[in-house]
Amino acid sequence: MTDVTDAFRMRRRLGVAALLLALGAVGAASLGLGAVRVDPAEVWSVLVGQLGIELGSTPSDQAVAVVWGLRAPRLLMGLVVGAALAVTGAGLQGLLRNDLADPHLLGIGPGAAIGAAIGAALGGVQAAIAGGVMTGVLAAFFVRRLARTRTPDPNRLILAGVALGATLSAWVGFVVFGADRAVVPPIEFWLLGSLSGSTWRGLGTVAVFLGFGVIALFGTSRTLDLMVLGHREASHLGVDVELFTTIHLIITGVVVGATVGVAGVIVFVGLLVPQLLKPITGPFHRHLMWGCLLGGALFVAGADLVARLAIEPVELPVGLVTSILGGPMFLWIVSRRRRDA
Amino acid sequence: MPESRAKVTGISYEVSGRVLLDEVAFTAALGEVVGVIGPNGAGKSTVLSVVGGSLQPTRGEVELMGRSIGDASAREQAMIRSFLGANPPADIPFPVRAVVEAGRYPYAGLEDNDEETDRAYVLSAMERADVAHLSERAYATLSSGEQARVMIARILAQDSPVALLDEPTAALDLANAERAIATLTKPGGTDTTVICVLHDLNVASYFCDHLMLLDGGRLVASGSPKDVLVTELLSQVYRHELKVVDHPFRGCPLVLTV
Repeated sequence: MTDVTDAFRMRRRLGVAALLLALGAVGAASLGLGAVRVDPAEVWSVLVGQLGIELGSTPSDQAVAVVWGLRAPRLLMGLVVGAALAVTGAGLQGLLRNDLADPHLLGIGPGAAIGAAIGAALGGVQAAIAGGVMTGVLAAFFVRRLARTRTPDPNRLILAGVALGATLSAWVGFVVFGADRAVVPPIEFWLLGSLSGSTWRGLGTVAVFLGFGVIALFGTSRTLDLMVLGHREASHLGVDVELFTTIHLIITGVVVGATVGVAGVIVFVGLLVPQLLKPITGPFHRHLMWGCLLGGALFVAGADLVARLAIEPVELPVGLVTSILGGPMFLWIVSRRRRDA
Repeated sequence: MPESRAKVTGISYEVSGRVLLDEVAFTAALGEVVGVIGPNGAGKSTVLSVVGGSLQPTRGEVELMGRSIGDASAREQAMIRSFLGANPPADIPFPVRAVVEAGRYPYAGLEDNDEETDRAYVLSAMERADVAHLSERAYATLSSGEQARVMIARILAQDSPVALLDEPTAALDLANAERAIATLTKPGGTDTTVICVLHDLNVASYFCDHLMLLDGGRLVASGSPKDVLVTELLSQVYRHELKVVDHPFRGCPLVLTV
């Protein structure tokens, strides 16, 4: 019959190997491909050159500017943002016992975008991250209230989140159109997401928030497993469910807010990646979150590569690419749930 | 006078003006098996939730192991009492072993508890509840009877001095129900105090030391099965013609519909 433990152990090993290989391929392609093509050998000499190692050939100044100045921070930004979004998605799905939970669908992302846009208007990427974190946490508290209704119908929660997200997205528009267009990124940056503004400076700041946040989320994995047994059951087994939910949503707000500050709302990452990986990692959050770390990084970095190259020289918002994949996936999950019910 | 494990003094519970529990009081001693019986809507599950600390009583006080349950943290509560709620979710993707291991969660990080101890408790609990052979199966793929036995194993693994059980046998056929109750109430050598909501009056009659009959939120009778399971009282409380006779070979009351 379904002997879960052994089957998943094997699948996890293969899965990690496949994800690492794919990450390597996407990384190499992201650094080399684009309007300016840099061949792999030159990419390599740029990278080792930055580490202070002199190789036989010296890369051209243009190659250094493109690979190290533009593409490397953008690639890394895609990796950390994707990893963080996928891990928060996995966490929310366990916390709320809902396969459809996703930080952006629930309105946390659009909420964060309001503060991030205000922050950007006041001064730069640092302020945008801080603003995103603040209103992201506020939006998370709002979701908390929605999730606490007496009959927690999972579909109704998502519906409420979508309505909340639409409202908050409109407010992002008011902020953007009311602010100085030369300073604040345009509305499509916030609502469709983009990694085009990635800088080493922004990467450094956001990495601190995401690093702490993701480590904290990993720390909740055993308790999340108990939440999956049922919220009532978790409380019987010694989990302070109210407190845990509050703390978890604050961390989620911080992580999502920070990603929105640097890259806007990139939808469906938190929904799609955990759903795709569960059959490989198995249901335990400690395994699922590791998978999401790799899978989310791969998904967003890969989507950004497609966004840059699909209709050159025009660059698509990365959220369009994730939507094209994520939307049908969302529908598939909904229809599968109906069959199960 | 045996040591009192549970001491419940006059608990009432009201929700928006409706009285769900009205001054219910009882005590349960070490190793005692207390059955909570009564018709639908009598307040059986509410009593259990208040005793377990999930609901704060409007009035009254619950002491388990000499501690006020309302003042204990969720984790302290879980070390004092295990709780098996009615209708737990069935869609759990974890293997059976992990569901049973959840019973060890309250003890994580305690000095005198290590992985070895946890594993021993989990193994013995799975064997006693007859689910050891299902250890690696996903919980969601089990039959409802198997799921009920896994939940019983979880309670056994938690090994708290007081066990609160809401209809633990609802999903089980009559043979499995008796086996399950026997496992839970005579847990071989331990002295767990069990407070158990039961619908099957004949299971209650045979396995419980003490019965509490509830009706409309009030405790209408309390005592040994012989004292509580009597024809007039039951017919009145259940609003149905019932007759109590002596069980031909168990020596306890047998409740029959007429």
